[in-house]
Amino acid sequence: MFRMNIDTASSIPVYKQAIQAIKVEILAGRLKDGDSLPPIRELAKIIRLHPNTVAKVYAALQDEGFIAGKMGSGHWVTFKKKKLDSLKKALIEDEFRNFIDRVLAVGATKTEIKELMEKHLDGDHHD
Amino acid sequence: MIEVKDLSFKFKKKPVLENINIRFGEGEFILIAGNNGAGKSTFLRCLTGVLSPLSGSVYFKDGLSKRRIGYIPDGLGFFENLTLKTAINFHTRVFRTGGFDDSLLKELDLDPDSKVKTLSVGERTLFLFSLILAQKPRLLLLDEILHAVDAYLRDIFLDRLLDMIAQYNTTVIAVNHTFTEIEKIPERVLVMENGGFIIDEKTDTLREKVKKIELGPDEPVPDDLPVLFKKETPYIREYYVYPFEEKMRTGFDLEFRDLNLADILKSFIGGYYVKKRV
Repeated sequence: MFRMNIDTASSIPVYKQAIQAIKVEILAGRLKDGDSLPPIRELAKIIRLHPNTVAKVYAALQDEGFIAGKMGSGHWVTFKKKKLDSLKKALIEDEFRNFIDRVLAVGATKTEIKELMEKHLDGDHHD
Repeated sequence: MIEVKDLSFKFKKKPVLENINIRFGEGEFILIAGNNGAGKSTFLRCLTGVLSPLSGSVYFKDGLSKRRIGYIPDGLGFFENLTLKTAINFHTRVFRTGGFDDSLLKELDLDPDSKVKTLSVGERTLFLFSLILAQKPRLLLLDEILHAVDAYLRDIFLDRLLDMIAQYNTTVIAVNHTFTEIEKIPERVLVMENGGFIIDEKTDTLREKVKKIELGPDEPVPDDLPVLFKKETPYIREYYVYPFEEKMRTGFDLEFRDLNLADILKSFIGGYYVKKRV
């Protein structure tokens, strides 16, 4: 059930990557409202993180309102549409900024980017 | 939980550990890396009490009993001629542990009546680990044990290790040369050189501080760039930068790349050999 690819060559701390990965699962609908998450020690084994790190991940997701938890009954997803909409927006912006950085790095100008953007968005394979 | 004060150790008059001061907290997972002969194993042995330091001391706070300390050494020459069953009885008596959980032996399909010396290196490591688990360890010292364990057994070992940490909040201090399997686990990394620690950082901080740049064949290396280690072949010109600061991204017209922990540690160890040659 978990698609959690953690990039060990990234300077983004692993716990942040894990938080992001779970958010993406929720956003993509692979984790639904009320779905239970693996117990801390099980997730630690699945993604090979220290149990304390996993506990930190769950605590952060709980603080942000993506999951809920209770002593003895584990953690589960709490789906709030409004929350997910803003998350989706943030993720899209992230991806977009990465893309801009990459094309700027190979020497594209702002005008070129705008032109290409329009050309590709108007292409028939996009809506 | 553990406080090491002014610890020094000599072997045949040659200093191996020099005036080490360090603390380890409960539940921490610490990775120690360093070149061969840096003093890593000696340091672990001083923590276990197998070796008595020349000067200085190791304090265990909060009433940490020796019975709750597990140690898996590099060479595994223990209980050779005993059967597994006898070794289990012996170990549980010496450490006055409660029941021995034989699920690991069953998972590995080990016969309790066979002798310890008939086990492979990997099986022995896991057997010793199963003995240690009966001690409900609060401190576990691992001396470069993964390299001799095959991929399948390594997986089993890591699962059990993480289970143990979750159950007993064990402090783990691991000396390692092979990092890939466990590199996401340690939250703190130490690098040892010439009997002392030259790096003691949170893993996440260390990742931010070490970067790599790649230069083309004719590009000069900027003078004021702190280069820790370099790799130069007719095809590759790689420079490992430490300590890296974010402002360098604008100061130098270079691409600073992130590195995985294994490469970061390799560059520190490589840096040692460079210094040694100079």
